[in-house]
Amino acid sequence: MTESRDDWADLLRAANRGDTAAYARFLAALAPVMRGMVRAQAGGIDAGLREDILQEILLTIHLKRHTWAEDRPVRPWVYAITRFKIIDALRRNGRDTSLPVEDFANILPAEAEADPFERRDTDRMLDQLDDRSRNILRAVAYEGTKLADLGSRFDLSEGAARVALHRALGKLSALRRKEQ
Amino acid sequence: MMQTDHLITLLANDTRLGRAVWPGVVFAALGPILVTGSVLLTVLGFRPDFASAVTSPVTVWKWVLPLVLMAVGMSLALALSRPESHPQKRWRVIVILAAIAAGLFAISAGMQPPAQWIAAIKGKTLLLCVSSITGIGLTGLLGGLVVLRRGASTRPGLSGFALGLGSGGAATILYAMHCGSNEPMFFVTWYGSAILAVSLTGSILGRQLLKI
Repeated sequence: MTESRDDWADLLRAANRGDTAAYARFLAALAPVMRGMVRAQAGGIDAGLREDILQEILLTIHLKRHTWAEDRPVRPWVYAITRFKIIDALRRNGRDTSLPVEDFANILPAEAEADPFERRDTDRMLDQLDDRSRNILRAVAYEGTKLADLGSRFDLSEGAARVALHRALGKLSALRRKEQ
Repeated sequence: MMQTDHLITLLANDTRLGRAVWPGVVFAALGPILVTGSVLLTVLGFRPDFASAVTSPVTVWKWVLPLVLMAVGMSLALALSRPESHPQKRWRVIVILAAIAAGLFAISAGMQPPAQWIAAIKGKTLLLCVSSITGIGLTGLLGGLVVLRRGASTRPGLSGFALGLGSGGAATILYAMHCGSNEPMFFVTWYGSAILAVSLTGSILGRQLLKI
């Protein structure tokens, strides 16, 4: 972990003002901690599914980041969403869903494990998206295409590309919720 | 294969922020209630003794209780749209409102012979009362839910319930301007039932629509 947890609020504050570099650092700092939480609470589930849960948590945190009030601590906000999504995932898998909050206090961060089944829900979800949404998400995720280039590539203004990316992520999240 | 690192790249490139729940949810809920409630009042008219009813120590509760309920219900729905909130104190206000309503009911019951209780509860406008408050309240509930979806409630059923309390309260304020009943055994029972119907609908819909 390169950022201490107390920096999360600063990073997210900057991110909510449009600082994409700060936001990338926030998410990169968050992911290993969230992964550790998922592993601690859903240890019985295979690593691939746990990574799916982590991705769902990150997607939800992303789409709902405006619900963090900047004058409040960021960790309770992050943990509340994480806890909700883990319980939700466990319930779907028919497991015990009693999660004491304190269990999140001292979680070790975890690195991604190799997925023996090479299976990712997100990939399956991408296939269900409309062509343009899917292509936009793939271009940004796999090829590192920037927003400005996204516009020319898909014959959109930069503003329209921005909206299209946001909508595609919203659709991805809605698909995941519908699957449940 | 979508790796988590890829997802992070995606998310970091999306700079659009979601829209705030406040104050949109209040307009989305109270707007339809104001419109449908005004139509109802135009068609059915105000109670003729409206001015004296709002100042009478018994009937004034027909407006005070729903007014506070509207404010607290809306504020609870807003608070619950933040995932980490635990607005326990405001739930206590709801309990106090219910206790006051029960007290009014009991005092009125104590002031008349038990033989009259059934007639007092039934009143004359039961059907109109329940259907009006429920109908007007539901328009606000539905409008409010649309905006509440922008939030991140970790208790979606409870969020919908709170919005239902607020919407039911607002609908009751307007309907009570028409309703001529001065009988607490009547209005506590049926206003309460209608508000509860809107709230339970909110709880069911909330579980579906507000899930993050």
